[in-house]
Amino acid sequence: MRQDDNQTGATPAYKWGMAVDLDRCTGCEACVVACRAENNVPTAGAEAAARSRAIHWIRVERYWDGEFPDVRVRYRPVFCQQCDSAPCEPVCPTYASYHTEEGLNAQVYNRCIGTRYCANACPYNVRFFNFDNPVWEKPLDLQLNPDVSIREVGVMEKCTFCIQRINEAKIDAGAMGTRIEDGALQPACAQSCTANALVFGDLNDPESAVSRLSRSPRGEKLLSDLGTAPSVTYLGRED
Amino acid sequence: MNHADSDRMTEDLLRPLSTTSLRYRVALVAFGLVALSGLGAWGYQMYFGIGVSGLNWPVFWGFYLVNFVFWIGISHAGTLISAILRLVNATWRGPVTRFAEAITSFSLVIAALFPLIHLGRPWLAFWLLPLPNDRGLWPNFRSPLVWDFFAISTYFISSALFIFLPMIPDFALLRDRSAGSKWRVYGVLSTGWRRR
Repeated sequence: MRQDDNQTGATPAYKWGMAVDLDRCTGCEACVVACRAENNVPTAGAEAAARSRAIHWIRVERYWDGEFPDVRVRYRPVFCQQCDSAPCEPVCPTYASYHTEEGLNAQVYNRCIGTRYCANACPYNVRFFNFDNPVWEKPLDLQLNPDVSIREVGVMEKCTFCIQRINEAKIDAGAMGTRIEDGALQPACAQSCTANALVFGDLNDPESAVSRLSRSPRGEKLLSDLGTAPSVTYLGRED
Repeated sequence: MNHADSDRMTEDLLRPLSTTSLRYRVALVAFGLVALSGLGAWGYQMYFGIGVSGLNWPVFWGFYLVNFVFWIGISHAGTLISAILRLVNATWRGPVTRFAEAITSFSLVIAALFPLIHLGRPWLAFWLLPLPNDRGLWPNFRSPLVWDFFAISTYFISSALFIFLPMIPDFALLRDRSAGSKWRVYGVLSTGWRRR
């Protein structure tokens, strides 16, 4: 890893993280739609989706409690946990799965040769492979985001925390000579969350909203016993 | 066994190297067509994506890597047979070890095909080679897949030497009985071996 990418020295300027308040999530899946539109995620079509070939960088898992009619449903949005000790990274032979200075699991599409080792290693099943040539049903092909590259067939892809927005905000803040303000930068899923269940921000800033939420006693990491050190904290439901 | 008998046996043994029967040619064309159809299927998979192989989320590895392991296993069997016969010093081992070592080498070549077929973008497979790219980035030596490459190439080199060394006297025999371009090829392969 190249240390000289980091302009500020020992501590990186930002450490991106997310807090997911499961008490607030209504399961509306606006995040899923927004992510698809922002990140040029191809629509697989009904047939491929039925074979579980659909790509969805964020999914809302449903858990049912109790027997009918006394049922309750719990929702859990699951996306790349941007682990600090990520199982996907050491297995990639070409450094396509790569840890950035800011704590992101970057996926360098151009380096990916499609061994699919990373996706086998990922315990969260949040990596998606382009099994087929990517297609967008008309007229979705007219709304592709020009800031995000299209992934070729045979390439792995996953949630990036909307790195194109992060980079844009960093360039803007750099031009102004300031840090990115808390709340000024949001990935598409957090931006579209009506219940404000997804909170994104800088974990290196102890006063940011995401840092305060991540310190909550309700907080837990997904599959924390695996030791992957995720950057995403789930705030449990208060029943 | 007198000298004439020995000569006749050598003649019989070497005949398939100089003449080809009609049955051999029919079999060659038939199996060649099978190999060509496999090549065509690989091209189809490259064009339409790994999806045509039936592999799926979330278990991304399937029969290609199973096939790889299978053929590596076959190849190990050849090495094992040959090595055990050598260890117990079986005097009759000559023809058996030759077969066993041939199995080792050829099934290893078949096995090495499958990681390539398995790749999503096989035309970039050379990025697994220990060469830096134009940005000075080497392959990730922590990745077990890079060590797969080293393991296969080490095993292939050693098993190819293992089959080649005992064949040198046989190449010398062929060299002494051939002429023209065959003489040159066998001459190189026999590395200047002289019968005493």
